[in-house]
Amino acid sequence: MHLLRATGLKLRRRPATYRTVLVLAGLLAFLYLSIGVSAAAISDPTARASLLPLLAFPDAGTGLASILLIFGGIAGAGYAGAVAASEWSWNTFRVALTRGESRVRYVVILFVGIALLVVVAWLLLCVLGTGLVLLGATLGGVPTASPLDPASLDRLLAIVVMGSWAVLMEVAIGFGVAFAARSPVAGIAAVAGLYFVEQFAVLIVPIDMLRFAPITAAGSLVSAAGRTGFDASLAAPLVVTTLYLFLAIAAAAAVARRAEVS
Amino acid sequence: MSDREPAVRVSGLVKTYGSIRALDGLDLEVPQGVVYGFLGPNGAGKTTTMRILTGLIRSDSGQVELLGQRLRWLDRKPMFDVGALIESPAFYPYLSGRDNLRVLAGVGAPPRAGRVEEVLELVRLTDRAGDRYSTYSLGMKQRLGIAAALLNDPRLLLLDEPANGLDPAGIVDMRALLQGLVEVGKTVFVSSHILPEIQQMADQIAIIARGRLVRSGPLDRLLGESGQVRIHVDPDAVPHAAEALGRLAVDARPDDQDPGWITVAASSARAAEFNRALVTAGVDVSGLEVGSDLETLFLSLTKEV
Repeated sequence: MHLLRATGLKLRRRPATYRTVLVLAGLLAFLYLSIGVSAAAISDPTARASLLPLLAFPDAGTGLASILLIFGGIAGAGYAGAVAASEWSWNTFRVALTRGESRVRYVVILFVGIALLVVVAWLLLCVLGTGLVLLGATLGGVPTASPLDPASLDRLLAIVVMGSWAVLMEVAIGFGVAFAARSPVAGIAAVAGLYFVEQFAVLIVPIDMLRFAPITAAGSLVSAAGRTGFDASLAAPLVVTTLYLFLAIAAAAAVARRAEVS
Repeated sequence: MSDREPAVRVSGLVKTYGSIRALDGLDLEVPQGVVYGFLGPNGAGKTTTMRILTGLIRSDSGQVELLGQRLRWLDRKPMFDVGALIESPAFYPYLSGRDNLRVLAGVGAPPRAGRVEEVLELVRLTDRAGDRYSTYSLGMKQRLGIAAALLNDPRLLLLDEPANGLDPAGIVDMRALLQGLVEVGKTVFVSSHILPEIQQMADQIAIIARGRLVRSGPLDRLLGESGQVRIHVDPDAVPHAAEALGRLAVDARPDDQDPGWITVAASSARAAEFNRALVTAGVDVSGLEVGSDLETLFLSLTKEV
């Protein structure tokens, strides 16, 4: 508990913690206000209909979560990577070890601290995003159901819960890679690289195999939650996502356990 | 552990980096309740030793005991009674000095309540404790590093160049602080390049070179054994005096910077013998200084290796 509190203190005071959330909030605001303004300017019914999934609930929840997953995942991986790598560059990991701290516990608790902040940020951004969807729909004159309607709410809750797990997996990959490579760039590059590679891999790798890839599994988790809410269709992508999350943390812990610290 | 057990015992420590043998069977015994100076030229293996002592790196072979407990890889228990400042202080630049110590207090063995303020006071940083670490001067950073090492009220302190960046007043403060710790029974193991500082502060020293122990023991004894005697004679009589001293099979060198002075590399116990020999040779001795400095001892020992 002492270590988690100490980790919380150092993460809460880190300026990048707030900057990352602010950048994502700004990006969401820009996107949804732009979509709303564009919708208002479009008179062609077919073109307007294409914007409905983004501005009208219940489908808008999936769109919001997908946007947050991509940008939030990459930004979160960048943040977690910067935190992990700075333990090496500022030599604070070294100091923790000289105080008799367990290498594995230190790294795992560091990730747990980051994960707690990521979940809080995810919830805040989901609330903000829901508000922005409604604002965009109003600006665009798009009729939408309330996100609090029972049909929307069940799916929205599933999206929020599964989306946070999916984004945590991406953050864990960024964290694990950056800690192992001792480089803040490595974490964000790994997650952005996975997005890029998996986009193109669909052209050559059978889709049945690709669903075991981390980014595809995370995307499937969110879209399945958006389609059906909490049901059995979440099981497969949830297992794959969970596996990658724990693998990434286990890799970071293994590196910490073996590393010679100079 | 018993009071007679060494605070640090190192035996047969070997560490290689590729083809470089950083430590080549190092043996060391640091008694309890002393300031122990750990000296060696660059590349001698001091930092490697410090890193092994703090569990940061593995030795290829050999054993380390801290306060009677064998230190094994990933075994963190022996570190609970140890405070360390290895190389440079390391803190989060965006946190204040106080918050950095609070974060550290949550890492490893928890210190007693109120200890953060106590150590800030001890290193005279209370006034600036609320300021961000990144705004600290080099000396303040060093003092915060010492505060962090003292957080657990450790029985053994391992300090690597603790006087780095400190101004003269800071060095005096640090010396008093470390000697005060020894007075209450703690052991301070200091690696340093500032030899005059170690000479003023240390009770015992070890000098290493090329990864091996060259000499160790109480500082006074080592200085006495390999001391120097400075003799002043009439400048015109210097060649004659040097010749007379040479007959005693000692290395007597006229001091070019200081006419009339001759420096003899020998134990201070032989000063009377030199005086007698010069008087017998008809040379009047007008001044005689005995003693040695650590620098001379250090250079003579590390040159031989």
